Amino acid sequence: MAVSFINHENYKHARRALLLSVVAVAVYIWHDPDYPPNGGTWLGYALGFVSLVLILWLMWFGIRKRRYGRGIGQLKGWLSAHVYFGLALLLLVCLHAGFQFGWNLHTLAFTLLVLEVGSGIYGVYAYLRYPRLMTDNLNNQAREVLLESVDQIDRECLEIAASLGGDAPETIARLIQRTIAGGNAREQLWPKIERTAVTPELSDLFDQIKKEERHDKMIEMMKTASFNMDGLSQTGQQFKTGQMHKLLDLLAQRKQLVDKIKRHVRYKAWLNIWLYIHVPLAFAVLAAVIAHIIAVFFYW
Amino acid sequence: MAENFKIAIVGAGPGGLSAAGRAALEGVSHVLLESAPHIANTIHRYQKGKHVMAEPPGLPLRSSMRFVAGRREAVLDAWLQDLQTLNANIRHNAEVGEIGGKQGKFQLKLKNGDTIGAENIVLAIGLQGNPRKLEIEGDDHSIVQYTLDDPDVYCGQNIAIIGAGDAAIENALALAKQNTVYIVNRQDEFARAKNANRQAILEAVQKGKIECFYNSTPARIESFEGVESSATLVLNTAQGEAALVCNRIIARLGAIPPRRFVEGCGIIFPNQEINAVPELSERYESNVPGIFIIGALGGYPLIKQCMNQGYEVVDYILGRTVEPADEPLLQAKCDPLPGRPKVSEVLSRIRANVPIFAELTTLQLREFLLDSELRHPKPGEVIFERNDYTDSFYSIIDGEVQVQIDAGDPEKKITLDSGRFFGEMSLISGRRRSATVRAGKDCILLETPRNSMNKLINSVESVKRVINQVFISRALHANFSPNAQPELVDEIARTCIIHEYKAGDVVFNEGDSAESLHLVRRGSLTVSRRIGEREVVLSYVPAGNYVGEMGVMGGGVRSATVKAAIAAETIELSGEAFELLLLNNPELRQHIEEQYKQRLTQNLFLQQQPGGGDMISFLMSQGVGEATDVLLIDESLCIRCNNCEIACAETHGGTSRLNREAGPTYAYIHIPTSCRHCEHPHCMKDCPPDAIHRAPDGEVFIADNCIGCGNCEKNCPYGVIQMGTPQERKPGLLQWLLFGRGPGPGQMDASLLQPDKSGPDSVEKIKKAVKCDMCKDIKSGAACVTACPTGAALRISPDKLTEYVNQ
Repeated sequence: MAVSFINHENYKHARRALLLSVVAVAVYIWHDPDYPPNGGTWLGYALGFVSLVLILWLMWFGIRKRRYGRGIGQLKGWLSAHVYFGLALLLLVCLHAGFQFGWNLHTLAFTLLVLEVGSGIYGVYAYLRYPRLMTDNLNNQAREVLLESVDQIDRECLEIAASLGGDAPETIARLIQRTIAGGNAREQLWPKIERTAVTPELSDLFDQIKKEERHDKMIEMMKTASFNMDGLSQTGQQFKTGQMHKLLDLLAQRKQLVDKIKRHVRYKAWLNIWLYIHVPLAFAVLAAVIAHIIAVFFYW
Repeated sequence: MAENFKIAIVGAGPGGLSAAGRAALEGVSHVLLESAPHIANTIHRYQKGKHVMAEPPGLPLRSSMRFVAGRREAVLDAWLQDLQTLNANIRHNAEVGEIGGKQGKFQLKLKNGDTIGAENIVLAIGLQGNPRKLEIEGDDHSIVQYTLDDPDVYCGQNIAIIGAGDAAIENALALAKQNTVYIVNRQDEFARAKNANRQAILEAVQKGKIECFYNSTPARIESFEGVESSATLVLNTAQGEAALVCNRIIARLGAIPPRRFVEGCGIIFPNQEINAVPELSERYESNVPGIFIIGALGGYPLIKQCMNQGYEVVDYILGRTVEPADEPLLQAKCDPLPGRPKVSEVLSRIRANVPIFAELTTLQLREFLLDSELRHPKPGEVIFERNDYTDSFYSIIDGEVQVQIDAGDPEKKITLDSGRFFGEMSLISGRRRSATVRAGKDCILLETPRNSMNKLINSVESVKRVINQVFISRALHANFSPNAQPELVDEIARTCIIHEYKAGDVVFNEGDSAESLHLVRRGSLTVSRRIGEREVVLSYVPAGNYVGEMGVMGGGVRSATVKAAIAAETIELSGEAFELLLLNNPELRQHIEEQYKQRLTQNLFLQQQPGGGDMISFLMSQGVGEATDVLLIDESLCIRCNNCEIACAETHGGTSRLNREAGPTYAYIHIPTSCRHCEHPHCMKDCPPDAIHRAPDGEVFIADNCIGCGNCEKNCPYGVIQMGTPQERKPGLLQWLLFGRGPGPGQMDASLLQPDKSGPDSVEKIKKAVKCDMCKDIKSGAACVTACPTGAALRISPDKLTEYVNQ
């Protein structure tokens, strides 16, 4: 495996973040203020200041990510630092607050931060889990090729359905139209994967065609009974049943492909969903922290 | 009675037109023979509105015809007008079949039966060749054609297309929209066509949109009496004869390369190489007196060069002396030299001092000097560093250079003096420089780019021979005997044999008796063994290394099979010669044994890991064997954020040069569609302005003098070159974020997304080839790798490949 953002430069940033945490805890233990530890002591202010700088720096990642061809180091290193210092931040903030929580603005900022870091932790988990699943799922087929194959099968199905006549074209067209890969967030995260390709509608259609065929055959037989018992009529029957089998075969193939695409979309959604929480929350945290600072300095 | 002319010009391309124009202006009796019904067939076939460029920029145009860079239509129109104004004598649909006679009394037999007499002949036929004809009974019917300009013109017709190549398929698919189309294929599959075309035609045949006759050949065309618009095409099929009534028959049977025709005129090519150029005098005269060759056929592919030569050749035929148009360019190259020598002085100095160029004609030497640079470095100045990726070739005209042969010891060096050359190792192997070279005193060097040198090596046998000999000596010296006497090495070098292999060819098999070892000088090899039922690839041997030494030193039996991973060349050194080298260098034996032990442990490791060998095979099959630097994506880490593509586009004028999603994957290793920076780049093969270069760090890049011809795009087997339109600089990220200025990160400029309007007012969008340049101008390194947040994207060179796979 390549060196990832987890073990970048032999856990350089993990070690740094750990060092920062250990120093902070040591000073916290050593520090013996008159009141219970809180944000108002010199250590509280110092930890608060460091945390604020960290928050701003962590948010800078969003900008750094888009500064292509500029800036120092690899983005991988930045992400590595982002992850480890983000974790350390949670500890620093707890020490800053002296573990005092309440129903107030300050704890709101803290809660938002916990959610922020929590979504980040999920992000790391997703980044380590889903890429492999996605590769395994696609199994060396490009997504576009899958979509094209489905398209191709759709066209073949419609052609066969047209040759069957009756309700077939409409049923198949409806079936094709109903297939959804993607859609809204819920449909992407929890796609409905059918258990079998043969829906009740389809088996109805199958039954109906069989029935029609039997009927046609009876008439055919009555017409030609005297001289051609199983010639023409047989071929007619074989044709329709054959087409129907072909259609079922195709639909089974189609289901496999569609399921693959649905799974792909699902993995992709789970891989990305947290960013929709992580990024807005970051701004919420920043806003709450600014409110917290203003409250502390002006209204305490 | 045949007509007689002073000059017959064959081929109405830029060279031929310019020659005819000059002859007309001078009042010389002439005829310009063109096989097509229009002028400048190659340019005529460019897509509508394509921008034609005028390279090289410094070369003045010398012609009676106008030529400036611009749209294809404008260029062609100007030529047509000039032809009329000058009253040049052009004859269309006049393909020359055979040339007989000699100077003063040449006879040109045309395919249509006419014969034309001429005192002199100018061949300006280019390299495209004429379309192969049907050559069946009735093929002169008016419904038979060999090209298709605009498929949309035809509607509701029965059209038979003959041929199974890409051109035939593309025509058939385009025509099938509005017509009934039959395609006649000599074979039972479309094996020659590109994958996409093959799939498209098979689908169309399956759907019944096109009817295909497999295993069929056209037998004859039967016309209906008094009917011009249709005829019956009779086919020989596997089931017997079949008849098709057609309104049109389009034969796309490929082109006949012009070489056979040229050789038929008595003109000699120096060898069988595809890009060999016939030897010409400085007046463009071939070995047949009275037959002159200009343009691409003579090795000058650019329009301006062709036109200048067309002008000059007429003056030469008239017995005038013309100062070649490139004289000022050459003089500018000579000016920086001490004493500002004249061009002719420099040329004669090169010829006198450098033996390998002694046999060149003045024309070849001029051309060579035009492509090359004259250098006058100060003593001690570095010419190139060891491990640089440059690939130009240096000849020492005056003075000397010092080659540092031992990387660890700067004092160990050898001196090369005037007349010698260096840089051939990287030129041939496509790999890094093997030594650092510094200038000595009074040093004057001729630096020749790779393409020009290869052209010369392929055209002049003696140059090839000498360079090969020196290459072998130096390679032996570097690999086996840094301390042996040069005479001994030279003697052994003469016993060595150079072998050429195609991809997949076996160099030797496991179990063969071992009598020699192979030094890889170009390409790369794979070493494999049969383990159980399977063949397992154990390692990969890039150029500059050797294989087979253990068989020679040890048991005398090959312990593994060695195959060429890509087209490769090896130097075979016999066992006795190797022993002789070993005797002279006792340390070598120890060194080789150590290396062998290392290889053995590595092989054992790979054998134990069933996937390891397969991974090497997979990477080789994707062209990593000829790569110098390839982008891999570890899909177990890739979060599909496309930041690599966006970073590439953002740093390179809006067009990403890599396609992350495309390309195959094996065991989570994905090879995206992205430049491999090949050792011998396929893209460089046929670049008219020689715009593709290799920078010292190895990146293969396209310079700004690209003319947008698309040859590199076609030649790249990995599909990594595209034709793109450069974008203007974008406003910064914050400006976009806060004020909505310009396109956002990774977005295209909206104006470029609109379809190309070819109205007169629309700004001309010049398309140029774009490809990965490995971010050579960006300090922090390749943007795709630095922008990957998880570390999935990485670039590796094949030297590190086995190491990487072992991880």
